[in-house]
Order: sequence, then C-alpha cells, then structure tokens
Amino acid sequence: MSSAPPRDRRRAAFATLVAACVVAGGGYTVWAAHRAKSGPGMSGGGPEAHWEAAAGHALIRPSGPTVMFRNGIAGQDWGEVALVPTAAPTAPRTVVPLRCQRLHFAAGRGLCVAGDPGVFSTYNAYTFGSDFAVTHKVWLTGLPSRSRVSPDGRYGAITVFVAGHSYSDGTFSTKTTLIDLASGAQLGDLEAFAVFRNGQPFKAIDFNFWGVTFTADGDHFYATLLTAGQTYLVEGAIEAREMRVLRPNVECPSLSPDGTRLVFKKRVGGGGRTAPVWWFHVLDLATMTETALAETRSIDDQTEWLDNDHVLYQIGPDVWTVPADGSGEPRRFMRNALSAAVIRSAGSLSPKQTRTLSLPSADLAVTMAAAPNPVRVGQDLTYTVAVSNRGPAAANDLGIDVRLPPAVTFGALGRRSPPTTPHSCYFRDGYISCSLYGLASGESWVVEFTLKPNVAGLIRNRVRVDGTQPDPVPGNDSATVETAVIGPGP
Amino acid sequence: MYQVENAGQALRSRAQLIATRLFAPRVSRTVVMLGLTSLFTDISSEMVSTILPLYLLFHLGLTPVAFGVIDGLYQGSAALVRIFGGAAADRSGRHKEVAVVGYALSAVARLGLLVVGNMWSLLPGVILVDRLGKGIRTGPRDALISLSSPREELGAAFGVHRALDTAGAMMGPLIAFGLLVMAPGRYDAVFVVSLCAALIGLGFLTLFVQNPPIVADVPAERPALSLASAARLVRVPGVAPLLLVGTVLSLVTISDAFVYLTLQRRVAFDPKFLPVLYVATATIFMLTAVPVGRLADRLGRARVFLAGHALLLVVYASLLVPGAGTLRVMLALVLLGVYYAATDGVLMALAGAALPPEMRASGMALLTTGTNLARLAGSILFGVLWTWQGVGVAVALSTAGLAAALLVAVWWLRVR
Repeated sequence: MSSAPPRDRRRAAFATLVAACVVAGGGYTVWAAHRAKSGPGMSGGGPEAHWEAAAGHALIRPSGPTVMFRNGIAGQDWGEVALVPTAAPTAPRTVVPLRCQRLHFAAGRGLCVAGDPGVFSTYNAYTFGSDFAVTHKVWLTGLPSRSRVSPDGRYGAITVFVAGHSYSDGTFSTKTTLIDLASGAQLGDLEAFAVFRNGQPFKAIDFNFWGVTFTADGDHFYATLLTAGQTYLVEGAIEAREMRVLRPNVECPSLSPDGTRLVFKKRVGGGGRTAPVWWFHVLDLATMTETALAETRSIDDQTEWLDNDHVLYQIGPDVWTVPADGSGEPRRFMRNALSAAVIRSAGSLSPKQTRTLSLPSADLAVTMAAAPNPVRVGQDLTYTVAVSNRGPAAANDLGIDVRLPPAVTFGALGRRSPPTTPHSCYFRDGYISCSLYGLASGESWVVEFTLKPNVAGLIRNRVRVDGTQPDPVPGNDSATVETAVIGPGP
Repeated sequence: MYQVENAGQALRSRAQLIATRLFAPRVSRTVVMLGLTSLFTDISSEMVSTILPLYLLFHLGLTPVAFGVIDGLYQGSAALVRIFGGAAADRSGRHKEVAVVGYALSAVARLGLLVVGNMWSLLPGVILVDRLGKGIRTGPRDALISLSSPREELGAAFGVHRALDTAGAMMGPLIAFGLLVMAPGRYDAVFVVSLCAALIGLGFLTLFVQNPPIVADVPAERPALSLASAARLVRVPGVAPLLLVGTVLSLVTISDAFVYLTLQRRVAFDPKFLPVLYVATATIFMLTAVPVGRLADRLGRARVFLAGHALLLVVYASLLVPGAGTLRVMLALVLLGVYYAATDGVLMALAGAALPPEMRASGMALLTTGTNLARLAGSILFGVLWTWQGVGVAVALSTAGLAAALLVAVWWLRVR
C-alpha cells in the first residue's frame, strides 16, 4: 500500500471518505426515522407513557384552570398537545393525539397550526373542538407566527410572515387573518379593514398587522399595526370591519381575563442594525397608564394571562411567569413547553384517547456561597453555585438562573466542575443562565462566576434550579446569599 | 432503411459534437473538482439554510426578527473576511490551503449545529463560523478556477463551476425536505447528512485540487496586506472599470425576492408558488451557464456581460407593463436565469483576464465584496422606495437606473 502512487492513494482515501459518509449519513437517517416513528424515550428518567382509551366520554374534568401547550419533552410525545393543571405545572402531563406547532384554545374551540414542511413549505391551521378532533382546515401562505382564539371560542386569529424567508433584508411583512371557528370560514385579512386615526381615515401601503387579542364581548379585539417603522395599538370591531388607532409603541397586546388591562411588549431600545429591545409593560385601559413588568429581559412574545394577576411567556424551550403589576420577579413556570394557552372556562374536554406522560421524580437542590464577605466596591466577588440531584431518578435537562441584583457589574463565568458534564452557560440582560443536559442521582455540578459591586450596601443574590420532572422537595430549589459591600479601600 | 438510419446517426453525432462543444467544453480537471466541491458544499449549506427558519422557530422557539438582525450583522463581517481571505491567498501563494480553511470552517459549523442542540444561546456563534468560512473561501476559489484555465476559456470554466454550484443549491432543499418527510421533526438527521455533504465537498478539494504551478513559484514580489497593495490592485489596467461597472450595475439591481413579489402582485398567483420561481430561475441558470460562458469566450466577455444586463432591463421593463399572463412570468424567469448565466461567472472571467496571477484572489475578493455590498445597499434602497412611493415608482426608478448604468458601463468597458 505504501508504494501506491499518490493519485491512487488519494482515490482510495476519497472512496473511504464517501463510503464513511454514506454509511454514517444513511445510518443516522434510518435511525432518526425510526426514532420519529416509535420514539424511544430518553435514557434514565425517561417518560413512561400509556394510551388510555376513552371513547366518547369526558375524560378530563378540569377541577380548575388548565394550561394547554405543545409538549417539548423528548420522546414519543414530543410535539403533541398536552395539558396540566395551572396549579401543578410539573404534574404528569395528559397528552392528546394532536400535533401542533402553535396552538390556542378557549371555550371548547381551538386553533392548531401545523404542517409537515414540504417543498412549498405549506402550513395549515386546523380548528378543533373539545374532543380534539379536527373540524376544519385553513390553508396558510407563509410562516405562521401567532394564533389566538377569542374567549367565547367564536373567532380565531392567525398571523403569518409572508416575506419572512429572507430575514437578512431586515424588513418583514405579516398577514393576519380572522377565522370563524364554527364554520372554518376566513373572515378576511386585517389589511382589508378600515382604519381610523383621530377620527380620520388612515391608510398606507405598508400596513402590517399582528398580535391579535380578543375581548370577551364576541366582537372586539386589540392588535398591533406597523407602518413607516412605528407600531400602534389598534382596537377593532369585527362586524363593522374597522379599527381605530389608540396609542403608539405597543406590540403583541394580550387582554387580561377581566378585560381591564393589556400586557404588551414596548420597544425601549435597539433598532437599525442592532436587535430591538422590548420590555413587557401593562396598560391600564381605564386610565391609559403604562407600568413596566419585573421581567427585564427583552422578549419577543405575546403573553398569555395565567390569571388576573400573572402572565405567561416563552423563553427558549420554557414557559416563564411574572406578576402583571410590575411587582415580584420572573420565575420559570414550566420546562419544555411551548405555546401555552390557559383554559379558564368550565366545561370538560373529551379527547378520544389520551396518554399520561409522567416523569420519575428527582429532588434537585442548589446551594450558593460568596467570597469575600464583606467585599469592597470594585473588588471581585466570587460566587460558587452547586447543583445536586438527590434522586431517586436521574434528572434530565435542568435550568439554572441567577438574576443579578442592581448596582453590580458582571465579571466573568469561571470554573465549572466536573467539566465533562454537558452544559451551556451565558450572561444576558442581567441573567446568568446555565442549561445542564443531565445529572445522575447523587451527582453534583459546580459553576463559579464573579461580579463587581458598584456601590456600598447589601447585595442579595438568589439562584434557582428548575427541572422538567416533579421535585419532591421544592424547598431546596433556590438559595440566597447576602454580602455586605463596604466603600473602596484606602 | 440502412441509409436513413446512417444519416440519422451522422446527424445525431454532429448534434452531439455541437452539444459537446457548447455544453461540455474541455475544462481542466481542477475546475471540475472545484465545481464538485461547490456542489456538495452548496447541498450542505442549502439543506441547512432552508430548514433553519423552521428549526429556530418551531424546534427552538426563537423569534425570526431577532435572528434576522444577527444574520444581517454577520453578512457585513463576511465581507471583511472575504478580502482577508483573498489577500492571504495571494500573499502565501497557497490558494488551495486558504480555500480549505474556508470550507473546513463551514463543515465545523455543521458539526456545531449538531453539538449545540438545545443550547440555543450558542447558535449565533455557529452561524457566524459558517459565514466566516464562506467569506474566506470565495476569493481563493475563484482565483484557483481562473489560474487553472487558459485565458481564452475562462468563461467556459466559470460556467462549468457555476452550473455545478447551482445544481448543488437546488438539490440541497429537496434532500432536506425529503429527510424531514422520512423523519418528521428530526432536524438532527438533516444536520448529519449536511455534515456528510460538507465533508465530501472538502474531500474533493483537499484530495484532488492542487495549486497551479504559476502560483507555487510566484516571484518574490508578494503583495503585502496593506492599503497600498489595494491601491496598486485598482491601478492595474482594466481593474478599476470592472470594479466600477460591477458595483454600479449591482446597485441598480432589484433583489430576486422583490422581482418575484412584483410578478406575484401583477399576475396574482398563490404566494405558496413563490419557491417555484426560485427553482425555475436556478434551473435556467444551471442549464445556460456553460453555453453562455462559452459564448462569452467567443464573442467577448464584456459584451455578453452587458447583454445579460440588457436582458435584466427587459425583465424590469416588463414589470412596468400592466396586464398579466403565465407566459410573461415564464419569459421573465427565463430571462432572469440567462441574466445570471451571462453575468455571475462572466464577471469573474473578466476579472481573471484582467488581474495578474499574484493579485488574483484579492482582486476577485474585492470585486465580489463590492458587488455584494452594492446589491445589499440596492435592495435596501428599493425596499425604502417601495414603502414610500409604492411598487410602480420603485420599479420605474430601478429600470431607469439600470438603463443609465448600462450606458455608462458600455462606455467604461469600451465595448464596440
């Protein structure tokens, strides 16, 4: 072999490369197709699921409000619609056989945006009833973005990105369509509605609408209008097919269940070539006063009201919650869930069949230490966070968050041990967040980071760990450390 | 019977000969290998870029606007890296090695997509690596094509390369969607196959492409990485007009997306067929790249380059004429495809003929950067015009601009 001319050897090397690639690529595809069909659960702490036949009769009788969402736990139920009581987000998930990419539900009618990507990238919206059987199909032309159902279950709204395939030109075009959920008929594009501003007709070719939220009276809605680079809050009437502009800089409004307040994202910075910065605000419709919520991260989502005092929103694969009056602080509501819709109204859901996705419990615990204490202004303050899994089962996919207090500057992320534990950590918008792929029972993981205090006083810092699985001892999931800061040294 | 058959055979063989000359000209092995490298790399990158919006939006729950801003920033950084890649290739004389670094970076990015998984915060970094790789390799690769081809066949050489490149770009999305149909929701399978394609592309380059000897022993006068060397580049006869013509014509070019949207508004077909227009244009481009490149070698590359823009002018003018018809859409798509065949590779062939070997990679990188930035600026300008004045005014102004730029270009390139 060694005497083979270079050209032959190159050919042999190339043949080997191609063979290896074909075998690896083909093998992986076959395996992926197999997983997609039968979907073996994750190793350790995997979901146990079984179908319960429930032909025809009400299987789920929600005793209280329920949250419906797209399940994000890997395994055979990934991507299916699931339900849990809002009071117990880590309770076993009731999975129904319906796959949606976005969904919303109210008063016995739902909207499910789905579609297998094809050459034409077509997506469809499906309407469904409380038995989760599809009633109508609506063709969508574009990449679906948001969907909402009116509180009385009569109307649905879907927004798609029409020119959203090429994001690099910075512009985008949206199309929002209203749907009669009972008949599946399209009530038309919002761009066909008459718009009034200060009593005068208002019209421009670049109108874009999105972020519809319906009132409970069965005719009105709020939405976002974008024209000439400025967003506006509009209030619309479906029967009259008209809208009026209320105020600027309101995106993705979401109406509270009592109809008195809107939580929306307000643009507070960025733009041009930098990412826009949004903060959630609440607008009191009686007084038209705005209050910023305690979530300081920039989030591009339309919130969903958990109850009259809290909203839910998406960060990555998780749903978070924050009080809707500016008080308190953000908290993870549930892991691995997308497109949460809160079902408030009484009435039972009667899917033809369900599965229960119950994960084995794992007691996660976290501790935090800080040194030195006291610390001088401008001096490095090092925190050591230790996460451990006290079992009994292995824990998959943990999230660790530290929300930095004001008056400190982030220094750096430090040592992580054991370094072989797969993880990702980053600092963004005042949060240090880590994701851990898994932690076996009895295993621990440590991460260090440094801060620099800017002013003298007391620093209170809190860390929280959240898993997808039920935690029998929730009391040890967070830890707080207080450090005294004294003036700069002599 | 025998006679007739024989005559038919003779006719066929003659037709075959003509077809062979026009469609499969003799180009060097290196050009074919570089074409295959691009084919597989494009399969790989288009597989990912077609499903990336779906993946980000539905699998990771990211928002498109935030991603778009990041993506725009990266395109800017890719422009800088492209010039650096070209200069590094010229300085070292190791075009192949620099190109390998670029292709390898993109392969690493595919691996990154797999490894990053749910840790979506790392994704922008992965995409950045991919864009950097693309930036680095463009200049050295185009220089290699031109250095491995005789001067009188540059048009054909670039035609072959662009045809293979486009074929890859068309196969990528089909393979990606095929995989998603077989394994719904399993984006990792797309990434693995994409990585395989990238590795095969890299294999063609590393194993079968060699630096042409003219590059290997360039005289001591190696251009330094400085503004002075860039200035010297522009002083080379024939380079400045090319740079100006390329940039000015790109500035008045409407991006395809806008052309298709305008067609869609005129003819009012279902927007879900928009992707078909891309495929149709790419098919025409792929089929005509080689014969048009060959034609450019015969008739004069500047002439064919400008004729291509004249076809584009016809497309724009047709957008202004009211009235609808499927036939008009088809005609516009054919003209658009031929326009690409007559301009994309031909511009590089023009540059290859004008640039001395030791400045070729940096010169081509500069030209590509100039035309790309101008095209980006042009599409932003067009978008603003569309928003403010409506589609009619925007297209009319672009048509007038293209006509004027074309006249200036004829004068600059001294085409008689």
